[in-house]
Amino acid sequence: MMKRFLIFLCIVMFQVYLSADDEFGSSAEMNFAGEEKYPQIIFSGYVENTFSCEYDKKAEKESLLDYTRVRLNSSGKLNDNSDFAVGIVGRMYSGSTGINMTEYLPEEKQDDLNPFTAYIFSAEYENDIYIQEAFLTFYFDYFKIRPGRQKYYSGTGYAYNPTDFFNSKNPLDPGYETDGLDGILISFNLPAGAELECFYRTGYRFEDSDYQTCLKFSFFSTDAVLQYTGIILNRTDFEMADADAASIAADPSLYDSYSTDYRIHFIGGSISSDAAGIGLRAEGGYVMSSAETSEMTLDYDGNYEVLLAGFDYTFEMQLYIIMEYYRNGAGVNHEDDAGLNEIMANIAGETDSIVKDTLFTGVSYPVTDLADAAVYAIVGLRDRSVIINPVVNWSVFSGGMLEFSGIIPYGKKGSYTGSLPSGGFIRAKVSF
Amino acid sequence: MRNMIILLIAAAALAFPVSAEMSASEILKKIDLQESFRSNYAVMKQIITTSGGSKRTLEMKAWAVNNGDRQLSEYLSPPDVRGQKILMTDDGDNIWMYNAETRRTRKLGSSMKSKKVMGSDFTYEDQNMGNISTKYSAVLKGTENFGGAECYVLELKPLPNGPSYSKIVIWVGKTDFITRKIDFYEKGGTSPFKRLVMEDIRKAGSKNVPFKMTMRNLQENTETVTIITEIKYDINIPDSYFKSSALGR
Repeated sequence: MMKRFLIFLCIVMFQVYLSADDEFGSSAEMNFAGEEKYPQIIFSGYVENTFSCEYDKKAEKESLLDYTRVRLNSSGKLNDNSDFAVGIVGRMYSGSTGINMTEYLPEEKQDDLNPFTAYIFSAEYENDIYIQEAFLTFYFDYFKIRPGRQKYYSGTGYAYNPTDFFNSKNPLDPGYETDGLDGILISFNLPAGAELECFYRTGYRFEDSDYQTCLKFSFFSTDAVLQYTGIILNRTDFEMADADAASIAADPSLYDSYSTDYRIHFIGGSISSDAAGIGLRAEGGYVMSSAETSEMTLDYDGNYEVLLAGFDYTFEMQLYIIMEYYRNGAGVNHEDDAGLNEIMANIAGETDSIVKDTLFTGVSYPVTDLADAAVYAIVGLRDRSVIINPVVNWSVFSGGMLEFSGIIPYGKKGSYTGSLPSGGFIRAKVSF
Repeated sequence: MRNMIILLIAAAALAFPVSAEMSASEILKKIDLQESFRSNYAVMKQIITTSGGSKRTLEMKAWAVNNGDRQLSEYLSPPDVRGQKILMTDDGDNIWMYNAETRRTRKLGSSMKSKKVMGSDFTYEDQNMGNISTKYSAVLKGTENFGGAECYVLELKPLPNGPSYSKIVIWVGKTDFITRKIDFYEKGGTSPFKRLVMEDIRKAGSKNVPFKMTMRNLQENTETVTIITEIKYDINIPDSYFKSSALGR
């Protein structure tokens, strides 16, 4: 494996050397009409404050959290053939900074928990500063290379991206930026505008690393991607951890023994197209797990399918509608069938849906020149649970935004969705 | 008898006041020829006045080839939109938007063509007028002086699969074929709901270009003034500029 990778690297670097001569020689042509002047370095960033409130119906108490985020960014081009970006993020929290994941469980499941479990499934939001992205890119005639911490996405869906195993997305805030991944991206230009993209995320060893290859091409008004992904995922056996909560509370390092890394191989793809003005999107494929059956209660070794299909449309009156169906083959048929593992995995962000069939839908309308109002809904198709998400975005002034987002869950009494707290957030953001 | 012939000639002249001049389709072709370009690069400023009277200024640079068949614009300011890019190809049938903050590229449905761009009074399809002779059928309504120039007044109705407006009326210079004013009509509308006025016409290379364009929404009482601060024609723009996968570059 190691040998093969080194040979591959040598071939790539040789190509880099050859193309570098070609490309730098032709830079005068790229620098058309002399309007690009180098170096171009931009400093930018934003300050953002999010005030969130949740009301827990079961405990009849509210929980407030104030979250301030600062991002400082610098990006630029050194010449026609290279660019870079660095982003530093600082996060500060106040208010209810302790999070106890078991509070999101239905009452019945909370009652069954080991008394120590609430302690071991708790976490604390801590102030921190970290590098969100730091990458450089070299462009050549036939390919580009981008090493470093970089944002890397897959999929065409708005609310869910089941083909994206590198990032998790919150369907109640799907447009929010994510952090970079440490790896290297190599993208080759192919004939007819096609592109072969390879992404490698560094692990401890080659066998622990993650990789993805995408063939991107277009036909008619359609962008298409064929994708292969090999990635190590992590799942926690919450049921076993709950049973052994007293021991874990005494020795927290034991918690890791209930957490399992396993590799999946994914083959699939995505498309983004247009028919009669309707934007069409789909992504999906088949997940094959290489996990060995263990003694744990968690069933993570099955193969399953994922699919997202959706459309959006803008009417002449500027009303925008969107609808996406999401099939998660690893989900349960009905929320009632979900055990502690399925629910906690969703709360912890290990999975993006509990049930198999979910519908995301919404409408958006510009109520004034500077404000958009929208209502989105996440509907569990089999159990008729729904989370209503009203959103208002207001551009207060140039560079200043206010966003209101509400979360109103409805579900059968005792179900997971029915037990979720109502709430929302107000987010103020100034960019500079 | 002679009086009768004179009367007939006079009646014909009244009925067809510009029949001695160019036909509507000829004028459209002249407009397309005047506005055609191989490639251009422009730096622009857009001043948006909202219905409440507040003003926003956007700055952008844009590249276009083949009469705007493929065009890319990148916002330079204000800071919340800096780095955002909009790519339109195939005469606006394919639109992609790149968000510099999330570094994501998203393909938009072509129904977005009738949506306002960045809160301005210009829609995506307004930014992509292209060859109007291939999008509209025209009727010459007469001549009129506008902005100090004698103009042809043409009523244009979209061809099937053409733009979303029910019709537009354009004022185009009789000698230079530069469009000076456009009235936009919605479906079922009897009066224009938007008006675009082109001013400050100057030479840019070999072309005459309006450096100031004012789009007024007459219903919503909003206005967007686009001022070109720099424009160059017939420059060499790499094809890679118009690839959706290169937006994150």
